[in-house]
Amino acid sequence: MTPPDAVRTVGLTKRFGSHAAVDGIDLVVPAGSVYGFLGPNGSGKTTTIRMLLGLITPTHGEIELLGHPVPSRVVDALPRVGALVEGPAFHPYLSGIDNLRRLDAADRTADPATSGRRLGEALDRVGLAAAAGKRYRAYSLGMRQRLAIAAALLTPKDLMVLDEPTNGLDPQGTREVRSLIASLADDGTTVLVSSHLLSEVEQVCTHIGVMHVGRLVTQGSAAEIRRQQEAEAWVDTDQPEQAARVMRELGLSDVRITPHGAVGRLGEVAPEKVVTACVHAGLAVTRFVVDAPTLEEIFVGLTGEGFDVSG
Amino acid sequence: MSAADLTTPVPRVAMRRPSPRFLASELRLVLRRRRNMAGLVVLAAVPIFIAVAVKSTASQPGSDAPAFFQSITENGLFVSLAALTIELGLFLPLAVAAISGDAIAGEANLGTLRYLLTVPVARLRLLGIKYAAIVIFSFLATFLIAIVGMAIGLILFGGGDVTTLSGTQISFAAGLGRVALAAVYLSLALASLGAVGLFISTLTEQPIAATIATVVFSTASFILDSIPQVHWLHPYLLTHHWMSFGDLLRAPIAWDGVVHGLYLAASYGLVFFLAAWARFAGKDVTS
Amino acid sequence: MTLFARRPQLRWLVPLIAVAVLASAGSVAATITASARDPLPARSAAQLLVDVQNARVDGLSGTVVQSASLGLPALPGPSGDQSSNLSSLVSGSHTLRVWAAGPEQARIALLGQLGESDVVRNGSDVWIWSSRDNSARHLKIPADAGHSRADTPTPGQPTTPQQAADAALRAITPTTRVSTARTAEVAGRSAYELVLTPRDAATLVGQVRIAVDGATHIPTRVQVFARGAKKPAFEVGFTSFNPSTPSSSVFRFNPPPGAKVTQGMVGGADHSPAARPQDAGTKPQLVGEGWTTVVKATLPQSTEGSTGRRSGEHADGASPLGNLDAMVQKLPAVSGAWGSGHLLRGTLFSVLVTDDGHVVAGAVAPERLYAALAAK
Repeated sequence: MTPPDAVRTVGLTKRFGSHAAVDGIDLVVPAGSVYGFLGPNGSGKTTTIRMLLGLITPTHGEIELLGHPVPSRVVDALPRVGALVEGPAFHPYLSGIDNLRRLDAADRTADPATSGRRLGEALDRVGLAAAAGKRYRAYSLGMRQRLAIAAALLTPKDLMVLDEPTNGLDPQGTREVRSLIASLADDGTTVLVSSHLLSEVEQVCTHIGVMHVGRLVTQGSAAEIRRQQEAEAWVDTDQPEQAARVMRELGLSDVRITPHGAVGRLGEVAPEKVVTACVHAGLAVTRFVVDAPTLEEIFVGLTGEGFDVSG
Repeated sequence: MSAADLTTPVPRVAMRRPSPRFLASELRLVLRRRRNMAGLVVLAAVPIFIAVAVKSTASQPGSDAPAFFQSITENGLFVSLAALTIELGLFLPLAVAAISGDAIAGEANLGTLRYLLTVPVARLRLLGIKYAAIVIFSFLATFLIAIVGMAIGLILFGGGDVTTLSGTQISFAAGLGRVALAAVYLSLALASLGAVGLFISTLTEQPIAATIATVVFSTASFILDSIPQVHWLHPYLLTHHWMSFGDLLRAPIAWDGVVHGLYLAASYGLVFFLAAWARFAGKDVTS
Repeated sequence: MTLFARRPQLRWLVPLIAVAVLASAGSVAATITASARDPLPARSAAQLLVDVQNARVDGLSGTVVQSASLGLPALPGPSGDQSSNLSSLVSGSHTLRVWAAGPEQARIALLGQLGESDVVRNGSDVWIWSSRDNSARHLKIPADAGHSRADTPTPGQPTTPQQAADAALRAITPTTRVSTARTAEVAGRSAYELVLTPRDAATLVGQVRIAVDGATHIPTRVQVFARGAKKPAFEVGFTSFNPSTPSSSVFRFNPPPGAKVTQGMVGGADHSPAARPQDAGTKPQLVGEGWTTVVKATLPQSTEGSTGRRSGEHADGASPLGNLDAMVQKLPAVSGAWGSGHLLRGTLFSVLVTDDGHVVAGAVAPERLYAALAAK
């Protein structure tokens, strides 16, 4: 049995009054993927995630979460879904572990007999074991975030939905979240991670979707997306015209002369062929660079604005 | 439905037997909260205050004293009834309103609601557990007053046969039974107010607003009940039969008011619980 | 569930249906039981009156509710105690529980909120208990007096019930249309109704309906309707009625320890808490006849003596006249060729208190009162 897509939506739309926060998106999160759900703040990521989890009823469109229709059968899907939605939220006058205990008690699929062990493991995994008995009120923002992740890990999950998991974390915490995502993926868990910080998730994502003003402007595997924008080969040499001619012969397009040599779009041409051809033509190649656009550059092109890299 | 189940590629996760864990967790949440503990202490302090005040005053309470005050010096059991009567006007409704107004709005305000719902807790189940905790709290608050009142009353004034409102006497054990019946009746009456509070709690994300609105509801009900011009409305008011708990202290017991009161309480409880469900089941949780 | 998922607003129908079902549950049940009962055989007015006089039950118990909505302005009474101010006597409702067993045992309990007043008769002992005052009054009925008072119908009148009924009907026929109905329901029991309709259109009274229990022939309800009104302006009737002898324990009364106990004799000056003040001004005078009769009287000049003596004696009867002057002044002022005064206007009757100390009252519109004053 091939696993179905972990998440699939068709024409998913949410209107608040006349304003469409999410406008007809067809989201596909393949099972086993790490799906980077990207977009600037206010682009509809959180509204989409809330709809996936049954917290908000869509105005139009359909959702399947782990094969169950949402919101009608969301209760059947959610036991296998861990979620971190829009930051942590717990009872401030309860300790961290008591907060987890409450969520575990609310879970009808959780085995009470193993509750203590599972709580300990989840706290260990996020590095909160030492602070488990402290009141939530006294937690730092980073600790709160970790507790929320621990809450999502109380029972085994097929899908983790992490909405801005690195918010409020220091660089060290951000690295830990990345490695946590990687380890979840290794275990076979599908991860849907949303972020307005591209750099944080770029390295771990196998799939990417980009939201812009309520629409999903692009979606696919990371490799596919990179391929959408072709890489350019830069050849530095003292004979620019020669180099340009060789590149045109090889089939590169948009070949231009630069002060130090020539540049052209690679297309289907393998980069190493360019170097070989230049050397065979007797050119002195002083520098060879293949410049693939970063996702950042792709997204600037898609959304017309950059990601907030300062936050 | 079964055909759909067969084609559903992901097997459903088995639900375990219903267990009281979540309800217990809910009760711990309510009772370990300092604000709620302080509220219960205030509720329990009233009978003590009444008993000490009556004991330390040389003259007996006259016929203008609140109901049951005169009987306190005869029998300590009446401290319970006097305290319940006094607290029924505001303190008890306020306590129930604080718990019920907080039920959904409090979780929404903290944001914990979205995490409970994604655990998942089905929305109807969440309402059920919340309301069960409200009902238990109503009993707890009422019996706390009754038991503290009885204890302090027996210490300061002693027990013995109990004089009913009809002027006849019943044994202390029978009197104790009557007081327990009255406490059960009032608990159920307050639980129906709790359903109103639960409903209001689904309308807002501000628990204080929900609590105030619930107190306003019960107070308005009391006020309307005292305005003769709207007597046609009286039989439908939530609080109309609350004072009928006194009918349990007659000989023989007059059940009419109590039965009507229970019917009204059950009706309010059911209707407002269903309204809470109608509101909450499809509500967008955006907090 | 899927229906609600598609149309979430439909969920609101569920509590609305619950309201409808719960609100109608009582009346539906009543309709079902009522329609299931066999209809009563037809009875004429005379037959009904005979039935009533012949009605004898060994005992009964039940709850009686008296309610009045006489359309009077809200009278600001002494605050608080609800059953002791005048406005509560003419609006709102009172609940009584009654028990009777044979001629010698009876008990009436007036239920107040968290309080109760009882009158218990057991043989020659009568106890009057007030939980509010924690007081009990013990009265003895002289052996000979009790029986005749309680049971004998007005003496010196027709000897058989049939004759009495005929005489009564003859007396009222000129002024009143008398008819019967057999569709009434009182305390969940089928009942006849004796319907008295005044022929004189000048009276405010539209109809008086007296319900008579179909099985026991005991009158179980009296309703007085204002002209054109759908709901009774005054009503007293059983809301529950049980025609079986109650347990003798309900008639047993021993004053509880700590209660104030006073003793007295029936027939003594102090026996009746409902006694009218003796100094009630000059003898009233009647103007007109039948339903439009107007009563004219002169107000007593001072009420000080009576209120002083009676205050604190019985909470429910406390000084009705003491507040009277203040209340009268708050009524709307009227004036005319007859002089000036203050008018109390209700749905069933009008009362005019003139500034020169006369009172005129009747079940008529105020114009009739002015006419009656002018006729002096």
